[in-house]
Amino acid sequence: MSWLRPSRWLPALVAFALLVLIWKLLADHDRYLLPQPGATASQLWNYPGLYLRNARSTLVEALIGLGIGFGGAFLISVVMSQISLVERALLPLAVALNVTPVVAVAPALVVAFGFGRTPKVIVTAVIVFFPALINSLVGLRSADPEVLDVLRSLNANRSEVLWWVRLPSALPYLFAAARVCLPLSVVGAVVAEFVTPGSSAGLGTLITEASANSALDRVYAAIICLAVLGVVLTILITVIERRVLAWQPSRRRT
Amino acid sequence: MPAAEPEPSAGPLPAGPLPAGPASDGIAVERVTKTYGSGPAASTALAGIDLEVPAGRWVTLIGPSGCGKSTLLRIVSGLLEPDSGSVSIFGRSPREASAGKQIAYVPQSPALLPWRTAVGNVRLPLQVNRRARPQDRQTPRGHDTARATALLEDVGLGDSLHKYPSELSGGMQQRVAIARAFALEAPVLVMDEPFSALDELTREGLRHQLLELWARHRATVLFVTHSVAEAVTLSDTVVVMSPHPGRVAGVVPVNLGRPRPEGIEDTPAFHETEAAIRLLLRGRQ
Repeated sequence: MSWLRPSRWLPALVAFALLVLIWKLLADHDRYLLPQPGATASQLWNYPGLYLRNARSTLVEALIGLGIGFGGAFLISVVMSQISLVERALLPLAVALNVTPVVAVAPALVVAFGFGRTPKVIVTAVIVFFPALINSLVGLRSADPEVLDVLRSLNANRSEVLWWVRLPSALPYLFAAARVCLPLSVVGAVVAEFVTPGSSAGLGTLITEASANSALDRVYAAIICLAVLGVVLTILITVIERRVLAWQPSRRRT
Repeated sequence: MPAAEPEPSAGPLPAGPLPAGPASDGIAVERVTKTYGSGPAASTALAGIDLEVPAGRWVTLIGPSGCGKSTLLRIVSGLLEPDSGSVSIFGRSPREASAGKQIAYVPQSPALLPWRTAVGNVRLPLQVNRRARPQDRQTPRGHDTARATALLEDVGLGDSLHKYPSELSGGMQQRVAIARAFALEAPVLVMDEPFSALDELTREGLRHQLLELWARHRATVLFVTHSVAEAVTLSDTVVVMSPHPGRVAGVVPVNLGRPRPEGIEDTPAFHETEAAIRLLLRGRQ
């Protein structure tokens, strides 16, 4: 339990206290720049249901989008790694998709799919897709060539090589992708909520509405919710990663 | 009366199915050539190699970098096709032999799967391509684990059965790789400088461990090394190769008898054989 030692948590606590102090000073200086930290905290304290409901809505959109985008990218990368023709056909498209700012497509998606959950899930899935695809492809190719030689000398077929070597080799890369994609999925969901101002739920919607009313304390309360969401998701993926990749030397040190 | 006929399912197999007749015994390499690249950039890795490894014997290839020994090894293992010439492994082509899981290949690095424990790595060749051999299909999984455990105990890793490769030293990893090769019980064992990344003390210990295992399994071995002492300690015959283009510079028989005890490195006969090999190695530089 090394994190119980003060030397472990004290620096972070001091930094956090300093941050709140600077925030307070800035808020005192100009009340349109930042809300009072106290006012923001009391927002969260007085209306927990409001923030929880909206956070849940954003989280669900983010996770569904993540599941579709990540899962789809993974399956496509497996097909690409097995059939080079598919890779040559799809990779340029994926690159083009990656350099297209998805935010620009979001309003069109609202026209197409309405104000419900669908456009948000699509934006999230698209944002997550490319980093997942590239990491997964690199991971599937990262197998040790000498291990592959050993399997070839045993006349292992493609699916055996995929199952015994390539997929496990890709796991660390998939987790690296998940670490990038989880926060990104929240970004996707929030951005999609920004462009659907009529929709009733989600932290992004809450932020747009509160900003329109100059209710900065609510805006920042929602932002804090988003930060907490990101932190929790990251911790979750780290815990799972430590479990699954227990064989990795770097995972066992600390 | 066929008294020597082994029972198909009981115990470890002898040195593989040996077809009758001297023509198909062991490994035979005839006039094998291999060129990498084409045009002015082409480099001839192998310029007509003839080589024979009689069944149950240990032949070592030695030579400076670029003499094509690894290329030859990959051709014999079926990992690479020669440009011309032929290779016969107990009367079959390397591809056919590897399709029947008759070749145990040990690369330079241990090439272990980092997500599998020592036992899991040794079991791997038995799990892959189970269609190839009837004995693999019939044996239950527990048998694989028991065999892997026994082999790891043989190489002194009885305490590390369930450790991951990252928890093992380089020498221990290489011992796992050797146990993995023997787990296959293939009639042919092909090793590409398996000890090259290890320190001299570790290497010496491993040589004798390898010899002990081999004495029990008696595979036909083609081995590659940079070390003259290693070649003499292990082999029945040492084939010296010379580079640019790769060809056989000479063949040195090792008349040391077996089994070879530790300390054989200090006998006069050992030094004579070493000197003969060194002479051939120097002659072509």
